[in-house]
Amino acid sequence: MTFEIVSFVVLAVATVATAIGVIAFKNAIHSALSLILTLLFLALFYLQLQAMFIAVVQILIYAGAIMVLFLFVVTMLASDQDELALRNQIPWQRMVGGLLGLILVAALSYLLFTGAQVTGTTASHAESLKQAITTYQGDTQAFGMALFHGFLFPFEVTSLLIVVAILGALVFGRRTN
Amino acid sequence: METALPVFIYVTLAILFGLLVMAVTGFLGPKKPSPEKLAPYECGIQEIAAPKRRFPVKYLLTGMLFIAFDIEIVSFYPLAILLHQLKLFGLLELLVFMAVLMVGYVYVWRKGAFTWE
Amino acid sequence: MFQLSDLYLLAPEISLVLLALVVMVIDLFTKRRIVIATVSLVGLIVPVGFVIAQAVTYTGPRTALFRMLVVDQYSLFFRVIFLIIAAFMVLASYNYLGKYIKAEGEFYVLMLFSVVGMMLMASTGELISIYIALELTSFPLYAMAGLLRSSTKSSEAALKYVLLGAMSSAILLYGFALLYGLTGTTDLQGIAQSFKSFGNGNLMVIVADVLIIAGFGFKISAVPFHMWAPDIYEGAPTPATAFFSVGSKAAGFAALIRILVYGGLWQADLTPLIVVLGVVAVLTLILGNFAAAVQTNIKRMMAYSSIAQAGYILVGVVATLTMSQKNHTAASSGIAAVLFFILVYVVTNLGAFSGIIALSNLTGGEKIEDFRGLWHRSPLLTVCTSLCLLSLAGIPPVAGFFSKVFIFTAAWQLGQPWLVIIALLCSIVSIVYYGRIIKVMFFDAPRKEERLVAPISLSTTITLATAALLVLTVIVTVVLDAANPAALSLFASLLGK
Repeated sequence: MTFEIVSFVVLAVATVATAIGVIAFKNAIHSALSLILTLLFLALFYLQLQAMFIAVVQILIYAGAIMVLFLFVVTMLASDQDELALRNQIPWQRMVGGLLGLILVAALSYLLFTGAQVTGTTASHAESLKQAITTYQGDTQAFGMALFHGFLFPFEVTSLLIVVAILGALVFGRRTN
Repeated sequence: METALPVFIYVTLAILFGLLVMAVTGFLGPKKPSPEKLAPYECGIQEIAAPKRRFPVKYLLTGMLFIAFDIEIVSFYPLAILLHQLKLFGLLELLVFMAVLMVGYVYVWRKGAFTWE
Repeated sequence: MFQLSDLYLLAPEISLVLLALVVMVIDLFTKRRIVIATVSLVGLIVPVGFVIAQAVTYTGPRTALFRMLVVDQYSLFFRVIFLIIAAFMVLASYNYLGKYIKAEGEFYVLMLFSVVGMMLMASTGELISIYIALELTSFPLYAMAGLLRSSTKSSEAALKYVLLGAMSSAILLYGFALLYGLTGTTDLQGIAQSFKSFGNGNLMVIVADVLIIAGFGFKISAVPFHMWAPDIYEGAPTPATAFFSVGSKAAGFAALIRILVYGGLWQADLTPLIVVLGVVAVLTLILGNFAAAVQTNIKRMMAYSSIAQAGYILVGVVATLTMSQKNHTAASSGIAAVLFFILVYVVTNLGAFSGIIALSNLTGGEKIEDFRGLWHRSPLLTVCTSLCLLSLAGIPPVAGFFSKVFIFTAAWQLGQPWLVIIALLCSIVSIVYYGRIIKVMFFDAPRKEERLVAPISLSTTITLATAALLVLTVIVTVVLDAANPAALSLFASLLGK
C-alpha cells in the first residue's frame, strides 16, 4: 500500500513536471522529448494500475510511433520557430490565461477533494478491475473481454474513426499543386 | 503489481544509469572550449549554409497512415489470446473491423498516398 | 447480449456506413462528380427506409448491443433530422465542390461518416460510445474545414478546429470519468439508477455536470465556448460551414440532452445545474445576438446567429430541467419544443446557407454589401433566402415563429419567465440583423445589372428548403405529435418502462 502511494506521488510529480516542460521549452525538439517522457510516465501509471497491455500499447503507439511523427513535423517547421516564438500580439493574454487556469485548478481540486469526502466515494469501484483480472486470469484477457464482448459496439465504430483519420491524413498530407 | 515490479525496477535502473553516465562524463571529461571546437563540424571547412533549414519529410503521409494501421494491429493481440473463448464471434468481429479498414487502405493506396514523388 | 435482431435496430447506421464505403470505392474509379453525388443521394434512400420502417413498427424503447444502442422515439427523431441534413448537403455542395475543391469524393465520404457519427450520438446510451460517436462526428468536420488547400484561412480554420476540438473532448472526457468514478458504470441507465440515491450537495456531481456542459458547450458553440465559431465558419468552405452550423450543433444537443435527461443527472444537485446552464443560455443569447448585429461578413454573421440560436435551444433545456423532478410529462414539453426548434433550425439554416452559397458564388463576395439589390438580379434566390432569414428571426408566417413560440411558452409554463423575457428581447435584436440583409437585398441599388442564374442543384436545394419550411409551417401539429412522445421517451427508463 505504501509503495503504491509513494510511487504514485513520484510518478504524478514527474508527469506534471514533464508535461509543463512540453509547453515551457522554447525549442520544439525539447518539447517533443519532454512529451515522450510524459507519455512514458503515463505508461508507468497504467503499469501501476496492473494494466500491462495498455502500458505496452501506450509505449508502442504514443511514445513510439506518434512521437516519430511529432519529430517529423518539428523538422519541417525548424526554420520558422524563431519568428513564431517572438510573435505575441496580445501580451496580457498569457497573464490572464495563466490566472484563469490557476483558478480552475484550485477550484477543481477543492471541489474534488471535498466531494470525495462527502460521498465517501473512494476507489471502491477500482476493485472491479482486480476482480476482472482474476476472473479472466490476466489483464490482457480482461481487457480483451471488455473490448470484444461488452464494448464491441464502440470497438467496431472505432474502425470508422480510423478510416476517417486516414482520409484526413490524405486530405492534409497530399501535396497541393 | 507483482508481475510489473521487475519491469518497474528495470526501467528505473535504466533511466538512472543513463543519467549517471551523462553526469559522470560531464564531471570527468576535460572541457576546454574554443571557437573552432564549438563550430558545427563540416569536414574542417567553413560551413556553407545555416544548419537550420526546413526539409521535406516525404514519408510523413506514410508515417501518419502507419499509425492508423498500427492501432488496428494492436487490437489483434487481445483477440489472439481470447480466440478460444470468443470462438467464431470474435473472428467475425475482427473481420468486420478489418473489412472497413481495408476499404480505407485500398482507397489511400489507389489515391497514390504511398507513391514517392 | 448480442442477437442478430440487434443489427436491425442499427440498420440505418450500418447502411449509411456501407453507403460511405461504396462512395469511396466509386471515387476510385470515376472522376465524374455527378456519379458520386447521385450515388450518395440515391443511396440515402436505404437508411431513410430503415428509419421509416423502425418508426412504423415502433412498439417501445429497445436497447441492443449490451445496452449501448438505444432506439427510442428520441433517437428516431434525430436520425430523421440527420438524414435530412445529409440529403441537403449532397445537393447544396455539388456546385461549390466543382468550383473550388479538388477532393470531391473525400468531401462526400467525410460528410457521410460524420452523419453516421451524429446518428450514433443520438442513439447511444453509454458514455464511451457517445464519446466515440462524438469523435466520429468531429474528425470529418476538422478535415472538411481545411479542404480549401490553397486558402490560408481554411488551413487556419482547420488547425483551430482540431486544437480546440481536442481540448473540449478532453474536458468532456474528464466529466465522463468523474461520472464513472461516482457511479461505477458508463451505462446511462445505470448512472440514472445510482443518481437516485445521491443527495444534494455533492460537489463531485457539480464538477462532473460543469465539465460535461463545458465539453458539449464547445460543440453547440454556447458562450463562453463559442470563440472558435466565427473564425472557423469564415475560413471553412461554405458548404462545410453550413454542415457545421446544423450538424455539429444538433448532434451536440442530442447527446447533451440524452446525458442530462436520460442519464438522470437532474436527480442530484439540480439547482447548480440549472444555474450553470441558465447563465450559459443568457450569455449565449446576449452575445450571439448583439455580436451578429455588427458583422459585415455574412458568414461571420451567420456564425453569431447560430450561436444565438443555440441560446434559444438552451432555454428549452433549462426549462425542462426545472420541472424534471416534479412532473415528467410537463417537463418533457420543454424537450419537445427543443426537438421541434432543432428540426426547424436545421431546415432553415440549410436553406439560408444554400442561398448564401449560391449568391456569394454568383457575386464572388461574402460581404453583406455584396448582396445589394439581388432582388433585381435573381428574384427566386432572393425570395427563398429572405424567407429562411425571416424564419430564423421568428417572424410570424413562417415555421421559425412557431418554434420560438413553443420554446417560450414551454419555458414560461415550466417556471423560467426571466429566461423567456431575456430571450424575447434578444430576438427583437435579431430582427435587426436578419432584416438588414433582407433590406440590402430588396431595396438597395444593385452594383451590376446583369441577371444571375443559379446552378440547378443550388436552386433546387434552396427551393426544397423553403418548401420544407412552408410545409413545416402547415404540419406543425403533426411534427409536435412526433416530438412529444420522443421527448417523453427520454424519461421512460426512469419510470420503470
